Amino acid sequence: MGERHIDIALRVNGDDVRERVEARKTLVDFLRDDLGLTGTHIGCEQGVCGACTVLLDDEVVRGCLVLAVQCDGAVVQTIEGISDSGAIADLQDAFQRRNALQCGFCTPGILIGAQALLAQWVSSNGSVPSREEIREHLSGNYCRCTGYQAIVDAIESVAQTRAGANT
Amino acid sequence: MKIADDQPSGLTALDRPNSYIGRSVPRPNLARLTQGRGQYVTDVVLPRMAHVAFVRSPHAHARISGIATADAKTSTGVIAVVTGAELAKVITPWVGVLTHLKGIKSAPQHAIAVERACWQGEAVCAVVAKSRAEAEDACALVAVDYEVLAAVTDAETALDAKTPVIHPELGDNLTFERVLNAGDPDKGFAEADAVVETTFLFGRHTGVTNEPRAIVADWNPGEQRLTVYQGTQAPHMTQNLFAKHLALDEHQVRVITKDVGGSFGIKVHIYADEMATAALSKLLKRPVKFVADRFESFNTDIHARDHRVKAKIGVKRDGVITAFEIDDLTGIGP
Repeated sequence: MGERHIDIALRVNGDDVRERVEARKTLVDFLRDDLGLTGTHIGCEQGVCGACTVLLDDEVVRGCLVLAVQCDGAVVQTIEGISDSGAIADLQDAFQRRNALQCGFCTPGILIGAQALLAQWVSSNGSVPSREEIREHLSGNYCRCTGYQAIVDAIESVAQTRAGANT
Repeated sequence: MKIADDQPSGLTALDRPNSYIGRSVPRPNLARLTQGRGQYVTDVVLPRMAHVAFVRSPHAHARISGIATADAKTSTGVIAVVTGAELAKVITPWVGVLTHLKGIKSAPQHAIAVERACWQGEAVCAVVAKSRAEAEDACALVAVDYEVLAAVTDAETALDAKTPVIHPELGDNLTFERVLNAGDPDKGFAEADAVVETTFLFGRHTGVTNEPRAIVADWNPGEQRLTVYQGTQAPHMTQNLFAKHLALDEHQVRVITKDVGGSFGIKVHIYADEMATAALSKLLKRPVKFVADRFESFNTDIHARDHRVKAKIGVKRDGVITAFEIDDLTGIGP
């Protein structure tokens, strides 16, 4: 039998983190239970609902499908990090103005997914994703309250504003 | 927070000072929810807090002939392993009826099954540990002997003479019936040129909240107060019921409902595992947390619909409906 606990060192939201974790612990449990980053939520624990979405080395991942020990040496960003840095202030404002959330449980994961989508499109080549492309990108994030319309509206409007600012 | 529409209405504050009419009103919780600063019950952590997981019946109806807990009690992190009979010493059973449905009958329900499980997924033993993972580890070490009994799963045959009665003390399997007769339907059908009859089947469904059911119960013997953080739609009702069934006065119970990750009607009900969590806190004199996982949600959240409706109308050639009759049958479970 292998080691039950393993030391890991990683960077989370700009902070250096050194912790000893159970080998079986998922990244989302590590973020929530060990680091107190409760903005990342747990909905299904099987990679379906997207509530635990975080950025791992700038890639969108499901925090419930990654083990904490796999993140040794990695850079992790959660909703708390990209919120405090101001990186998604325009997305947050658009979600608030359009009431693109009700219970808010899925919202951190959707904001992280949206930010990654806009990084792929607007930030890399100045183009704006279509509504279909926004929906496809967010197809792994379940929202049970809103019906998605206002979420797509909010992301589309921010894409257009960011693209306009780039030109 | 000031809300600005994408397309301003053309009116200004000078037109209608302090008026909300025609404007979007900002919801005060949106800023914190979009920043990951919400506080859902699943986020609540208290000093000395323990976690509970439940061993659940794999059978729809079974007599519990034995529960072996010795191995679970010595598992890493385990604080207590509690059966239904043990928990029944601190919490009384309740009867789930609605006062506006006169004559509805239902059997007493225990927080954890005592002697008999009446539905697949009913908790038969609780394991309280330092972490949820350790509680689940130990659940796998609890050995329950079941004597499988006949289950009643079809509402159409539930009242047949050969179908077993699940709660003999209630007399039969009929929980509630309402008959409404108005006018003279027999005459109406006799006068009709045609009678049309059909059966509608409505699919069973459930709410599927993103945040599963969750509760943190904190009995403080020093203050003689129970503080419950609960994702519920009815905190005043649960305050009343925690008090009633845990031998407390209502003023000793405080139910706090902060952010709730979706309810859709499923969080307006009393759930045995949530009552058990409060009872375990009282028994163990420390905070206990229960968060249903997704499997438990599908297995234990309340369902709706699943009605079979036989409907019949009598019509005249000119389209006038002379009579109608509706027979709506639904199974609500034991």
